[in-house]
Amino acid sequence: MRPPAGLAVLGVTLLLSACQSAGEGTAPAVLERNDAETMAKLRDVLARAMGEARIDLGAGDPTQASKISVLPRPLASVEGRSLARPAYFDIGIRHGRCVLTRRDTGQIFALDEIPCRPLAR
Amino acid sequence: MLISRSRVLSALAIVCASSLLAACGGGGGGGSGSGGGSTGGGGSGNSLLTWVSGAFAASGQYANKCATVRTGVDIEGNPFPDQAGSILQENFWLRSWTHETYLWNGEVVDRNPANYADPVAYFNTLKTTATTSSGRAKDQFHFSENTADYLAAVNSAPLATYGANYVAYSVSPPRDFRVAYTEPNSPASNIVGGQANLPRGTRILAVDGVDLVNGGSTQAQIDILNNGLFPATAGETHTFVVQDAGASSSRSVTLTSVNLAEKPVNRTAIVHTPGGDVGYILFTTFSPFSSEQEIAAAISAMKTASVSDLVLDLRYNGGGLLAVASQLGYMIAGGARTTGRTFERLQFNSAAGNLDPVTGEVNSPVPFYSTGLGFSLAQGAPLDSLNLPRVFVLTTGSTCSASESVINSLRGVGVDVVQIGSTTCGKPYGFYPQDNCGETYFTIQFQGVNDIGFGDYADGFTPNNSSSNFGVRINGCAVADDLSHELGDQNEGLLATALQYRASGSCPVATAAAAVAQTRTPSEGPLRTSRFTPLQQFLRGNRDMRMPH
Repeated sequence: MRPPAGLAVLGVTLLLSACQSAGEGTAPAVLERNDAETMAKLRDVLARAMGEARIDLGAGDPTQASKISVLPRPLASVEGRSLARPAYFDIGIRHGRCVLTRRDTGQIFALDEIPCRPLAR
Repeated sequence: MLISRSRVLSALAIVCASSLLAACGGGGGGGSGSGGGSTGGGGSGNSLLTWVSGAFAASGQYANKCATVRTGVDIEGNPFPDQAGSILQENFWLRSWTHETYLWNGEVVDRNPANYADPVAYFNTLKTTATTSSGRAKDQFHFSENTADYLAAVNSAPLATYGANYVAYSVSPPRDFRVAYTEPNSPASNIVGGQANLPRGTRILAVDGVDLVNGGSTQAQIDILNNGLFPATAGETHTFVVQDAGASSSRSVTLTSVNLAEKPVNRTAIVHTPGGDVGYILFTTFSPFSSEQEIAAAISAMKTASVSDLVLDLRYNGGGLLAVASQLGYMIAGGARTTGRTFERLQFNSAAGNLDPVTGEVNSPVPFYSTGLGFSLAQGAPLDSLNLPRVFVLTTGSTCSASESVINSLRGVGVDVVQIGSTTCGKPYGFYPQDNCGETYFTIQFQGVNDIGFGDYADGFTPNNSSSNFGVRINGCAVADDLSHELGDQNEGLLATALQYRASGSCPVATAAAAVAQTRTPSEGPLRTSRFTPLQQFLRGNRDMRMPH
């Protein structure tokens, strides 16, 4: 599934729906590709979602699993007991469009120009 | 989750721009600790900057109001949150933030912020002065550093190194620096002429022509020593005169630094004994994020080998990710012992109630995680477990924090932890680094307790036959670190003692006395430029240090 161009309106629509339950009307999906260009776009979306200038992805292949983890900031050497955990996102299709749902907040973010397909069950 | 205030605020700014904050009534995860536990406040102007003993406005009212405003973005590209303010406002922020989040906030003397011209100096007063039963400071972990330095450090891995990790027995002449262990496939561990460049126990005698043992009388010589021991960049070539453990002669070694990330599982071994195979894992850090994958793979290999016991070597492991420590606990103890049990519960100050006062989130116990968490293992990937009722843990004073939580949390679910080595560092505490106005502050905010509510080991864990008068005694044998054998060698002192204890059920007769007589206590001197020197005598190869005269 390839999201259409001109996603500004879609983005607003999706962002404003961010308080909806993550599961409502969203079907699990995976990305169609994991090439460098696609992953760079994915990281851009995730960076905006995290409110960070840049992010690092954790383990996992988004073309195989719908789960994405975003790594926390690296630890300083003095952080011997860190509670740091990845942030989790789920790839999905919502109203025919590819989206990311942040698991802890339910916020939904449009995957602009990043094609996805339903997760094979 | 580790989130500094600047990152939280930048996140909120972007969310606000997307109209999400209003829609959601507060935005998502990770509070900034600006609310809970404070009284007063709500005023404006001078009322907020007038000290009234025992009355605290919310720290959020002072946050990021800085005497010197940073502009632009930090090295991660995030905009600075600073607004024009004053040192007084910075001090009031420290005071309120301490009141809200410091574990022992009731033991902090409330001093007038106006009396301090330097926020760091004021911060240094905002801690308990109590001592543990051994007489050492209850809070040894209170410090700060320049935020730019902090960010540079956490964003700079991998670092230039030879792959050698040193231990210092004496930092004043005659100095005694030795190699504790080396990273696999590194310049230090490479074999040249049939010998590793810097095997464990190697003593460093000279660096680039400067006598490390008795020299260093000028700053120029000290710079040469530091620059040689801790190269700043990859590709630097330096020459060392070294003496191998047990040798009477010296040799010369020339090494070129490389960029190298620390390998958390440094090595593994299977020891064949009449009583079954014993697994050995040298695990040196719970971070970086590759630790999750590496320790899971090591445990899987042990399971495949059907080991009947595990020796977990944490002697140089200063901790890191508590989540990975939890996974390790599960992988040792197995699901039957850990399902539904708590790995570690965090205790915050008494005003926090059931909330984490830093994030504002509900303070939920850390379970024994039985799956990958998405660091370097796919989230949800099942972990193998050894289902062991007993584990041998090798320790020194560098065994710290998350490493100690493994010991404590396994004991909390009934696993017999047999400690071989010396007393651990004693840090059941943790913190969230917090930036304000260019300084990142580290103040103890929580203590970890295990499934049965125990977490009082500020003087460390110590083997049962130790001559130490302090520390929490657990099964095991006191043995001095043995630099005369490689780690994982069955003849190395700690591993040999573990194997002997396993075979006989008792400590070798000489171990306790030997530990007293032979222990050469690593120096506790100020070895680094960092202000943080919490009993860390162990020097990573990639850290700078200050060489005392």
